[in-house]
Amino acid sequence: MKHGRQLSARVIRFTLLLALLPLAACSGGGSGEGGNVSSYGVQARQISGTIQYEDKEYSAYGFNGNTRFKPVRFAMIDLVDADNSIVATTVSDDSGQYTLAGEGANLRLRVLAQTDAAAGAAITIHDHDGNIYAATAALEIDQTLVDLDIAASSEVGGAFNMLDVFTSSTEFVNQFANAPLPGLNAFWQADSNRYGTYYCPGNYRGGMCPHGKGIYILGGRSGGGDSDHYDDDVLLHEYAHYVEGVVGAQDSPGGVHYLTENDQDLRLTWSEGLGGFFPAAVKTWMARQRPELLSTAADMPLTYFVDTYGSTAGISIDMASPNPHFCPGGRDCFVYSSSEVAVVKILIGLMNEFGMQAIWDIYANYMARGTALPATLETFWDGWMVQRATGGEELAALRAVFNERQVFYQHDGFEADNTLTGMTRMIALCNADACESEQHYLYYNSYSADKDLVAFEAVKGRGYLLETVDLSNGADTYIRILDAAGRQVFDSYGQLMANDNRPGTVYCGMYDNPCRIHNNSDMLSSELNFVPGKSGTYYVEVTTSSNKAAAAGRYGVYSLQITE
Amino acid sequence: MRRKGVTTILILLGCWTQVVFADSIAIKAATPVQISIAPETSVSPGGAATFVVRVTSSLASDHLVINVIQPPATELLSGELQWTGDIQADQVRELRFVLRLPAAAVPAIEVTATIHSASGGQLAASDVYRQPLALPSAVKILQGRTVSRNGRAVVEYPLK
Repeated sequence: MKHGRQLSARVIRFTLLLALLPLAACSGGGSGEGGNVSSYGVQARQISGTIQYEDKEYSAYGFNGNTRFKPVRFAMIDLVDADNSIVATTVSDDSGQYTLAGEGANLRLRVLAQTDAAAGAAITIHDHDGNIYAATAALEIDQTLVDLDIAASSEVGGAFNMLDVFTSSTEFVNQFANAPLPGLNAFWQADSNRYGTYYCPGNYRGGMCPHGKGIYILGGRSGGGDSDHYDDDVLLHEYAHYVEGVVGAQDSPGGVHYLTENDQDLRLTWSEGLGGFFPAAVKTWMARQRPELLSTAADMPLTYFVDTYGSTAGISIDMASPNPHFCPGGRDCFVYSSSEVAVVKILIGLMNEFGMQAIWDIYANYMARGTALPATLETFWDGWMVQRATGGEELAALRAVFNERQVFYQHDGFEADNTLTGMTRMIALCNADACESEQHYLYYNSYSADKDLVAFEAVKGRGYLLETVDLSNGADTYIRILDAAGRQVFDSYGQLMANDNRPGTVYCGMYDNPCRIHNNSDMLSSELNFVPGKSGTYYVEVTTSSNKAAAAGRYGVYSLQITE
Repeated sequence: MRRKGVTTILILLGCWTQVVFADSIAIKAATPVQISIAPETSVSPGGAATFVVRVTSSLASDHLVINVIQPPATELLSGELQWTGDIQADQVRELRFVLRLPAAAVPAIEVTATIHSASGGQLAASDVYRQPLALPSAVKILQGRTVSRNGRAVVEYPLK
């Protein structure tokens, strides 16, 4: 069922303001409602009306066919004469209403896809040539009430949906930010897939970012395919990247990513996780403050993220309850700090538990723009610890949210293992029949590197394989063997018994980011083949690599095992 | 960190396209399912045309459904308009069919691909084939009109 009015630029009624109008010379004949626009000479005019655009409603399955007209808020509106001179200009209010008065011939009303600072930020929607989109309608003689309805099918419908989504986003951010955000430029063109959907953070102009900084939105192609101008969740996601660019630290390597991956660069999962969280946060806020502006079907949770391809949902996932059935092997893949969906769910959990202001304060202060810290979930956790001095019930609640996604920023069960002093615990050796590896968390709340030490007995001449396995959460281990005095050990061949990444591991060097160091179970793991020169008690020490990959974390989870 | 010659070279070559592509810009999350429809023969009103539908998925599924919505006034001459089966990660599934098209005009042909999970989860994608319009020379496409506003270019689209 369609809601609202269907006609574009529908003239609602004509009213003569006899007192105001001097009835300047009119050329041409009169016109009736919906008739052709007539040419006329200079007239003094006062007009008012409402500007609306047609929005599309979506459910978890894509667009459901319902549409609804919504106000074009805070948009710049001109009264323009035949010479393209601006006779009067104003800004629509929160209800899309406006009033204009001016004098000119053959006037037209022009609504720009550009908001005024009254919206909290100047948002402008451009085409691929950099032109600002505008919808116009010629004024009839003596017309005083001019309502414009911008249909979804018009060439500019998408521009006004983007303007509205970004306006809502700005209103949301302004609830928490200390100062208005700087201007936002978005670039889009209907039926054009010349550029995809992404945010360009820098001032460089060229390549994928021909107009420099701004949000680029996929317009699709004539006849079908993917487009994003009515995909509110995608738009909100990209707005989050804009917020990152102007408020918070941003060092994501970017590139291609899938929601089901959980071995991604921690900087990417934080950035994309923030982007995935933002739609849920904005929609949750809108549901409380401005439910009439939502585009979601009534029965769909606000935590759903939907990206349509054509009219159907290509990506549809409830970020608060991600369905693992599409994970490889059917196991829950939305876990670890190296999963963007896990980051989203953690942030949603924190918002529900502590409120959005708490999240914003950590992000905007501890992870502020220009901060040298990597922008990762780890850093966000550190900020929470520093800024809120968390303990007691809050710490327990915080851990519960993180642990639910298998993120462990806490001591493991073997702590008090940072020094050799008093270290008596022995690790059981694996053999062909059994192996009991022990799981450790590389985490230390004083920010000095955590050390995990454990003793093992070795016999001269026998071979031992010491390794870290099952890495997760961005762990990048470094392993070495110490003797009872804490000295580094050489094996019987004179080889120093220390290893960062097991033989065969590829390190991409200058291509670190594009080569995608994966935070999977083994890429950054460590391995030692040890043949002791003498029998006795040795210690294996595991730390985070001092030469860790930028993609990895300072914390992380691994299992240690020694096989004889 | 350690590196090994041959493997490193292969990885670097494999990553070359991403060096340009990534460029610190995060593209929106990729959809696991992609579908396209394209003609393999010339398409004209009243004639028969072969179309091919291609589906790829980054996720394996035991239950892929490809569906072609047959436009009115068309006749299926050969092939199938629906296919159900499995798909492996990065595999390409193709569906070919031949349609007799109506004499009046070539209609749009919509195709969808859906992968289902055992629990009822669903991912879908769609595409539409539309014949490019050859406009009579007298027909003018309505484009936006670019004007200057306070020194900035504005493209105006008149509403009807």
